[in-house]
Amino acid sequence: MSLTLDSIVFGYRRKSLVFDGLSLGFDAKATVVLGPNGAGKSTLLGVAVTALRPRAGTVGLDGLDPQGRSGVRQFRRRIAWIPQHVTAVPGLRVREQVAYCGWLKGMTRSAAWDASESALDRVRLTDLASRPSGQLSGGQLRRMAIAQGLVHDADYIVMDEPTAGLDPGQRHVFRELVADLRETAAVVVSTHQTEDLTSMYDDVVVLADGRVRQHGDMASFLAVAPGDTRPEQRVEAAYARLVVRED
Amino acid sequence: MPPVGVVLRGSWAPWALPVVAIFIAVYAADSPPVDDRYWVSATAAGVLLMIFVAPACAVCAAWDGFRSRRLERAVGIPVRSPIRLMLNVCWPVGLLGLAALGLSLWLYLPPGGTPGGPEPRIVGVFILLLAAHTAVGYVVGRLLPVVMAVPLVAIGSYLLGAMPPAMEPVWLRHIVGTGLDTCCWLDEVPDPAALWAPVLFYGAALVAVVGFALLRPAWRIVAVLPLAVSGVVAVRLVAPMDWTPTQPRPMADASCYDAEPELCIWPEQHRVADDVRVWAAEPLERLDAAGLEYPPELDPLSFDVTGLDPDRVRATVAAHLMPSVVCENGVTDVFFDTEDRVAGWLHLTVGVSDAGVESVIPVDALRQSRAVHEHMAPPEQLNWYRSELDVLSACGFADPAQAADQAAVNTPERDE
Repeated sequence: MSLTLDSIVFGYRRKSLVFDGLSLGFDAKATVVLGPNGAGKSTLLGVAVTALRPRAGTVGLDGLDPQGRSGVRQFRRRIAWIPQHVTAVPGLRVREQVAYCGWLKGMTRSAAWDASESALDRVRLTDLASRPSGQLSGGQLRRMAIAQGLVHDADYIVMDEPTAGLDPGQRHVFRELVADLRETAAVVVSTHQTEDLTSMYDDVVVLADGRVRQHGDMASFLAVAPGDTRPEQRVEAAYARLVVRED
Repeated sequence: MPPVGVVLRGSWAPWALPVVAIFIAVYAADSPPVDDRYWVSATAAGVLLMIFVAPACAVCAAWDGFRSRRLERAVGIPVRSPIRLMLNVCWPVGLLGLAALGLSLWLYLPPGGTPGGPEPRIVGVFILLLAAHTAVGYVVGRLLPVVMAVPLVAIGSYLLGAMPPAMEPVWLRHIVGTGLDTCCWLDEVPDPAALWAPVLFYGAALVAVVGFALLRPAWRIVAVLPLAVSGVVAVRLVAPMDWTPTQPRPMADASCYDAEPELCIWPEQHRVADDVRVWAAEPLERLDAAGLEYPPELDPLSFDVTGLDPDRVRATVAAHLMPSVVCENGVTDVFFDTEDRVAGWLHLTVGVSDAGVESVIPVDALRQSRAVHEHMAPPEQLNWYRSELDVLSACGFADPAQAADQAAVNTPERDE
């Protein structure tokens, strides 16, 4: 499986380009996209999942081209996109909101309703399934958002800053979740937090100023760190070296 | 499609329904139709309340638009189309509108036995009106924060329904459908232009909403084009119309009896046809005694069936005896005074009751008519009537030259 971006040119209206000819492929079971705030991580993932339309360049998923209405639908069915900001929908309970998202992803009503139960179970929100989604805490909302992404059994699960705002306990749950997810789907996660990366992800993409500073497996990423760096500091050192190197 | 209960619980429509129902019931109690025995009239009166139901639909749809935007954001990259989502979220609002429409039509139901049914063209126009308000409310709810969208569509939708009827130019009221409030007496049907204009206007609004949902942001301005084009066409359609969006009812709808006189009545009057024939024959003898000829035929009676009685039929006979006058140079006050006197005398001659005459003829004119009717011999009355017709033919002008000109125009029209 491979999610690819080829020669992407993207810019928000009246602003300078965020990407100018960016090419990248996500083909590992779990990939983390690192970068400082404003590096373009959210934009990169938004383009990759067709939430944002590039001015030029193409996106593909295993040869599937998201062009035309039918192509976009097929493409989107295979990808789950969990955006950074999660909101509750007034009038819906947690399980209903998850099921509604499944329906929006093309599932039938009954299939979405059935799948919502297991999706909530995977993020350990089953006990809150019948609570109004507006009553969830920030961390619970984020877990519900992940459940929304899991409900339709996507091949690719793309998450933008999923651990932002989570407490240590919730981050632990998230680590276990990623370990679970990668058994059945490819996972792409953007973050600027560097804890526990080595045990969670196979590949690392480092993005800064709209450019890919590093793309490779975890070993090649860690090799960027200075040789005398202590093991527990290698991720941070490699990241700092890549991001600061050309600044 | 998500379960019914899920969609209903999140919608405002179930909460709005009782409020709307109470409003309709209160309003309907105070606003009778133009003619309560005529389906077209009853339908127009019923559906016109939708002008006040539309803001409720728009507000509920704005709320649903806000919710659907949140749902889409939650999914990020939905597979279902924006139109499908809109239909899925907004169907309770559609039901609210249809329920309100049904209730309103039920409250204005004509009495049993009235031939026909709700006028489908008028109902169709107002279903389209509700759909357009709902769709626009939904789009506004998606675009603006809910605290802005809800009051904006509530006020905008209300003003669109309430303001044009009170404004000039007249086409404003016809283009939004509110002109139909004066529709229709028994001898009238809606002018097709008054139906097509709101269809074009609201239909284009719907097309604009669909275009807005499907087109990319940069192309959304194109969605407004159909609205502009059909707005212009609709204005051209209704521009020649005055306040009344009606035209004469086709005579093909009427049934004529070979009676003496020949009598034509509308289907709604069939149940009293025998009575009408008897009442219409009664003035024969009186007119004969007065030296007047009975009108050869009576056109369909325009008054409502509920109030049909011998007096109304006699008044119609009197009305048919009034001369038809063409006044190209206008008329004088003398003309109007004479017209009232002649009408009064004709009403008394055919036997309309005192109460019936007093309800339609001014007091001073009636006093003079009564003096002629009660104190002159029949030949003198006939001479008086003919001299009064001369005044009418001259359009009330005393100047011999002008009077002669007008009389020359009117001679063929005189109906004696």
